[in-house]
Amino acid sequence: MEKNSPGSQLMLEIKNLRKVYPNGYEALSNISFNLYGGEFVCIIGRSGAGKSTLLRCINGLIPITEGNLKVNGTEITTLTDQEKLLLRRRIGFIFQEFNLVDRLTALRNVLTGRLGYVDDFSALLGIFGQEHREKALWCLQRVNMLHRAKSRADRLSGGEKQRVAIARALAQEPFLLLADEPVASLDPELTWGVMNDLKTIAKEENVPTLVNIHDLETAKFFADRIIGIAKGRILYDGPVKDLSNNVLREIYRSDNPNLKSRYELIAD
Amino acid sequence: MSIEEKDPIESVDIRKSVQKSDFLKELANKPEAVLLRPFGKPNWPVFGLVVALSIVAIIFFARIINLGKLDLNWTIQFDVNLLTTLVIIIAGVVSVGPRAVKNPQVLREQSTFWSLVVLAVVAVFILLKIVDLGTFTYTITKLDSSTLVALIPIAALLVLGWRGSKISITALTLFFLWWGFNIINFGFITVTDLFTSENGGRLLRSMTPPNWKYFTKVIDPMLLTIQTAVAATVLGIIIALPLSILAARNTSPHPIIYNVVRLLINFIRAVPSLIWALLFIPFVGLGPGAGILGLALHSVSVLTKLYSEAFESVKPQPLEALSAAGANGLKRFRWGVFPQAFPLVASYSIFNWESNGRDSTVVAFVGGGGIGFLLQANLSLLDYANVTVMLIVLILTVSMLDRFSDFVRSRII
Repeated sequence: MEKNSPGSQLMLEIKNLRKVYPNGYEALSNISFNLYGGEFVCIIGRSGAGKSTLLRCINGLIPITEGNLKVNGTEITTLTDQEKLLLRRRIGFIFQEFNLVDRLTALRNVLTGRLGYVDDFSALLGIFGQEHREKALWCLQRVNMLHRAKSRADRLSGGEKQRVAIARALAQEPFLLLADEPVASLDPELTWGVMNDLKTIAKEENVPTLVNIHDLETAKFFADRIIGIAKGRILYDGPVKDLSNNVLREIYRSDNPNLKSRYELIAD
Repeated sequence: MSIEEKDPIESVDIRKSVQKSDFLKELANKPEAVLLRPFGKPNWPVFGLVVALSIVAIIFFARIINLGKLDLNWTIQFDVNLLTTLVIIIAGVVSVGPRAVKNPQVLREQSTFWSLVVLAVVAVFILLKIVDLGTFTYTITKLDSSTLVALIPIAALLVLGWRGSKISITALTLFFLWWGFNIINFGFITVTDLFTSENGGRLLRSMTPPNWKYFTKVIDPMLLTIQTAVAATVLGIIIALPLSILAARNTSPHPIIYNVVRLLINFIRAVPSLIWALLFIPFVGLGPGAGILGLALHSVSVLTKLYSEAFESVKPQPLEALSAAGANGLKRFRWGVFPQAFPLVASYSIFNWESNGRDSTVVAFVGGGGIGFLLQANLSLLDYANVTVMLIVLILTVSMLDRFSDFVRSRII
């Protein structure tokens, strides 16, 4: 594993992670990798390979069956629910379906990212102090959505919604950014626009980012490093240039022998 | 040489593919050409059986054959305290048991512990007769054997209906409707009475012209009626909001709490507001107070049910996002559930105010000061001309309230 720069901080340390659902389905087996400060890593793989499960395990939304997962030095399996909440407020999560609260304005949606930093009473009354509001406005400015701050979230287009979601994640002042298929619902132009914004912000704020992506070209263009997952196992973990068609064939192999993936059709 | 060109592909492929005309022929020839019949093919044996059973039931129920009454002296008696305690224990076990077997972690949760404690306390309360629920005694003296025998074919019809016979269900429904109308002193004679009654005619004649001199006396009570509605609705909303959080599956701390609150709310809802108001009179005396409390209690039950259904209908994905940002349950409710459910909550609240406006007329029958009280007084004194004035004022006011409420509700989305 190459470190980005000497002295780069070890942000995420995963060893032999295993996740088995109660119905017996093994979503992740023997996942091990590290994530260092400042990296922009794309995880590629088919739908159902376990990418979403992996991200949610890192976040603590899904409990882990076996293995070690250290986020910024803290072992996540030993945390209580309360402590997990405190950890999660420093981890930004961006969803494929944006997951904004439709009836609230863009500004209020970004403010919900600050909920981890206000006490229950203020949250109940909806009083966010000056510093929280300033931070939220600054985040909206970063994603170029300040002019739509007072618009209701359901009046925004798909790309605008995702940018507000990025602002919300940013408002948490995260030390780790997780994005689960952030561009899957967007058209190709918008895809590259949003991915560009995401990478620029991640690099400027020096926040390591893990992005799930199923479009390979986008992943290859933006990633520092690629992790390929198939059937809950890591098949590839390394720089973009070393990604060969053989590996891609393995990653995108389908269960159905009649369906040929495009990487079987491309000559090596 | 024929003129038409034989396209080799066409002549080969069509023969191989499904022939359209053959398909229809097959469909029509099949004994169960179900798709061509509107109700499907009736199952004649079952149909005959259902008709026979229905006839037997009608014969015995309508006493065409009367088997007379049996003389008995059976007494059913049991201690209600014991029964209730047993029910509570079983409920507690049933709600926790299966989940605990699958996932022993559940037993160690704080909320499970406290819910079980509350149930245990209530059970002990009842067991030790701190609140005595008495002894249930029911003596059967005469048994009507005709009705009893009629129940046998009905039970058979129920079984058939359960197994899927739609004809049986139709028969049962018709039977039920017929039973609903089977009341003494109600029938066509009631309808003819409407048009030929002497007293009725006298009522109508004395209702017009309306006694408009009475109008001044009506204004204040009408305003009081509206005030009652406002007070009752506001009280109802304040109490229903926290209760509905407990009664919604996605926001309730524990399934036991959810079930208990739902049960309680259903019980309260079953009693009409007028009866509740009557029950409050010994506490607060005759007057608008009893009316407001009675209406408020009914409002609480209705609003809790509606609010909790609104909460259960929100999209869960924004809640997941809030959880990922580090928000606890309360924050997730205030910023995820409530904003999504607000249009429904506001709409239901205003509709409840409107309906309370109508109910408070009736409730005012028992409380001094409302228009209902005046209505009752005048009806008893047969001053129908005054009654007409009050009815007109009532109709106009309620219609205005309705329109206003519709307008406000249409502006909230």
